[in-house]
Amino acid sequence: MSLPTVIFATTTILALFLYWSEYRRYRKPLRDYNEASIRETQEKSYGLLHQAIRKAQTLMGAAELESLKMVSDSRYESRKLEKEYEKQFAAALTRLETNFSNEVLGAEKEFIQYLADLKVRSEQTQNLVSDYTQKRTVDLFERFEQNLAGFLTQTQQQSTEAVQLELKAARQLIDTYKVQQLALIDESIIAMLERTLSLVLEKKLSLEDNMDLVNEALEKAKAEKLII
Amino acid sequence: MEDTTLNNLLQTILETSFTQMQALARLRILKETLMAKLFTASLAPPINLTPSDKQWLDGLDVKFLDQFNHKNFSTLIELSEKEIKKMPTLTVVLPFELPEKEARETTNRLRNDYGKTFLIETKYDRSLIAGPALIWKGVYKDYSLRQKIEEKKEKLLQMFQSSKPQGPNPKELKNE
Repeated sequence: MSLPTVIFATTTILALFLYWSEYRRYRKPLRDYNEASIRETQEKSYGLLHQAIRKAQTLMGAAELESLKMVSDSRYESRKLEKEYEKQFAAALTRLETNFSNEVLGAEKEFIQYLADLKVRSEQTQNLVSDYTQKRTVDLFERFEQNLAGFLTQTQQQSTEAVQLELKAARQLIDTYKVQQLALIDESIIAMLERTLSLVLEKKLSLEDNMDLVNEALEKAKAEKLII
Repeated sequence: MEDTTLNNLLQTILETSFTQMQALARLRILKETLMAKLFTASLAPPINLTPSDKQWLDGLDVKFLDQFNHKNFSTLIELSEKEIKKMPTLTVVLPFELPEKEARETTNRLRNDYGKTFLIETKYDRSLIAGPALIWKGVYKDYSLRQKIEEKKEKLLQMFQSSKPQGPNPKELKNE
C-alpha cells in the first residue's frame, strides 16, 4: 500500500468522521429545528463537506506531491546511496586490495624470511647430521676393526687347530698305510719266496727226495694218528 | 659161492691197483672184457688200454674169468664197484705227478700198516712246493714246505729285515 493511498484513505476517513460527528452533534436538535435551520445546517454540512473534500483533495494532492517528492527523493537518495555505496565499495575494495597486497607482500617477506631461516636451520642440521654420521662411522669402523681382529684371531686359532687335526689324521693315515703296505710287502716277500722255491725245487728236487718227503709226512701222520 | 667170487674179484683187482681210480678203471676193463666174452663170445680186449692195463688183463687166469656167467656177472661187478668205493682211501696231494711204481710202493707200505684194502688217491697242487698234504675222511693235513713257510713266516720276515742293507741316515743328510 503506497504512501499516497494511505494518506488519501486517512484523509477520507477523517472527513467522514468529521461529518459523522457533526451529523451526530446536529442530529438531535434536527427534530427540533425548523427546516431553515435544517437547511442551513445541511448547507453548512455541505460546505464543510465540500471543504473537507477540498482539503482532502488538497491533502491528497499534497500527499501525491509529497509521495512523488518522496519517490523522487528516494530515487535520488537511492541513486546517491548507490553512488556512495559504489564509491565506498570501490574505496573499500581499493583498501582491501591495498591491504591484501600489503598482507601478501608481508606474508611473502615472512615466507622468504622463513625459508631463509629454514635454510639456515637445515644447513645447521645437515652439519650436525654430517658430524654425527662421521662420528658414528668412525665408531663403527673402530668397532668393526676390533671385531675383525678378534674374529681373525679366532679364525686363525680354529684354522690352526683344524690343520693340526688334519695333520694328525694324515699322519695316522700315513702310519696305517705304511703298516698296510709293509704287511703287503711282507706278503709279497713270502709269496716271492714261495714262488722262487717252487721254481727252483721243481727242477732241483729229485723223485727220491720227493718220495722221502712223502714218506716222512706219512710217518708223521701215523705218529699223529691222522689215519685211523 | 658168490661171496668167494666177489672176494676173488676184489683181490685180483686190488693186487695190482693202488689207487681208487685205478681199481675202478680195472673193474671197468674187466666188465667190458666179460661182456664181450659172455654176450658176443669174443675175447677181444677193450680198446685204448694202457700197457700196464693190457699186461694185467693178459695176466688174468682163465679160471678166474670162467667164474663169471650171465647170471652173476652184473651183480658181481656192481657189488665190486660199491666195495671199492667204500674202501678206505687216503688222498695224497702232491706238487708232482706220482709214478706208478712209487704209487705202488707207497700203497703197499700203507697196506702193511692199515690193511690190505687200503687205497690212495693222488691229486696235483704245484703250490705245495715240496712235500705232500693228506686228506683222510674229510680232514686236511698239510705237511708241505708251503705250510712250513707259513708257520715260520714271522721268523723269515725278521731274518729278511735284519739282513736288509742300511740306507743313508736321514739325520746325516740333513746336517749336510
